[in-house]
Amino acid sequence: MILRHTVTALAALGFLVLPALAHGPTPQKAEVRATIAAAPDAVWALAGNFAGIGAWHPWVKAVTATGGNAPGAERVLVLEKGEITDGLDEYDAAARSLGWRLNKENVEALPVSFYTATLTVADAGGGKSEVTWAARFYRGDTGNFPPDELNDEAAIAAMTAYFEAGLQGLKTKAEGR
Amino acid sequence: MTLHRNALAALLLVIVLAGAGEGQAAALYVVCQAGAEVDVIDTDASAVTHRIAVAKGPAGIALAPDGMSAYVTHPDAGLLTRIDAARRQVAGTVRLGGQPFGVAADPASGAIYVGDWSADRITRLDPVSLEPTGVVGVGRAPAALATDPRARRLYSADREDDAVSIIDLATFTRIARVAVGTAPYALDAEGDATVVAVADVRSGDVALIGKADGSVTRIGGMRMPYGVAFVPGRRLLLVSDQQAEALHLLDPDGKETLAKVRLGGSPEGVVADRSGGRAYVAEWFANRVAVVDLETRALATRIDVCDGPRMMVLGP
Repeated sequence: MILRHTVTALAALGFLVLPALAHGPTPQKAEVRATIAAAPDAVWALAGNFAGIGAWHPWVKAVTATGGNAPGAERVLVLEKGEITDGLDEYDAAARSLGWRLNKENVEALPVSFYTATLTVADAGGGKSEVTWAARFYRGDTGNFPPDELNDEAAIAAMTAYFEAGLQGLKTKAEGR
Repeated sequence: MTLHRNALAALLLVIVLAGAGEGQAAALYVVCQAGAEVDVIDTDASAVTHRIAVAKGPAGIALAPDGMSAYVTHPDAGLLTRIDAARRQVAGTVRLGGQPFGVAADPASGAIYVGDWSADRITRLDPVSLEPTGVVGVGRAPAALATDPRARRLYSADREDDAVSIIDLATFTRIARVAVGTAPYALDAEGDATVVAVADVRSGDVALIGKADGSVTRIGGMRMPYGVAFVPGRRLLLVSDQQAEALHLLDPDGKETLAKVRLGGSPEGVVADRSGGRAYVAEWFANRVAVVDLETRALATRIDVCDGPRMMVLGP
């Protein structure tokens, strides 16, 4: 058992040393919805601008982006504790939906090793919108003995808080308050 | 559908023995990682008939060649569960340690092959005792395992090695490493006589490995393919695409996409039924299995299942 633990610890260390390769076998999910008192097209004008997340997400201090809203576009987000890089995969203006992935992780900034996310703005009627932000992701340390700050619970809590803060910011911005 | 289950099973057995290939009911096993459950779907009824609770975090599943057992891996807990397929209940759980993920059964001997995601190796287990009988090293992060019964070979999609390992089953040795796209994750080695299909998650393509010469042809144009399955009796390859939220229907000869069926919920595992008429796709985020009609190339229905469906396997 000592040997087995050592091997696992080394494997975990390997993941930390080579974060670009980090990817575990067990994904987690998070989904947050918000109703916004603004027309869907107006909300989409904000949320559908891949490079513009810094205008409404309070956690995002700065954004450097390339490629506009075309698949393959990238954005580097400066968060409080460091940078992460997102890559745009899907952009469907008619459906008011975009999908992206984490191209370069930073478990200090956000304790996940990889995610794919979608953000969709739906018409809730009466001039209102319902925004859904959902993601599939992997804990920061994908070994079997992750420290508390890099386990599944930490990843779910962080992603949920990240989405909630973002949608609250989007709501505030879109409602002009 | 009001038939007694045993009577129905007996009837099905007769149909199977008679060699009927069309429209036969089958059991589709759906592994739900978050729900710690394996659901059994009756494909005729398009409904869940059994819900089997298993240990935490089940991921991979393989069916014994006789169809009487299903083997389920638990990477986070280091466990392997054997399910009694006839009784639809857990027969036992053994501790393997490590991160057991991909699993396949030997079509001839019944031996079970289990990949260890973080130890980069495949362990062979006795199908009855589940005791280890051999180990072979592969590339980094073996994900899916699949057998080619005719050639007596095992293929391992080594996700972080960007390659597929080929293992000779008679000697249980790694005889080749074939470079494919980035992050190979899923395999179908049995459904086509000449090629093995490999889903390359990160490079967004499917690699076709020639069984005879190890040549590689890649079909691109996908976002994040997570499942592959050849359709029996048709020149058709199904590819689930998590980030495009779709099922691609590919022509493996012309190397082109014939159709794209829009799905939802991060599609992952994909299975074709034996008649080649329908495809089943696990919609991971939505906790559903989508049923796609391969004639009309459209969504036929959706079946609610347990939380976090990923891998699936079709039983008798």
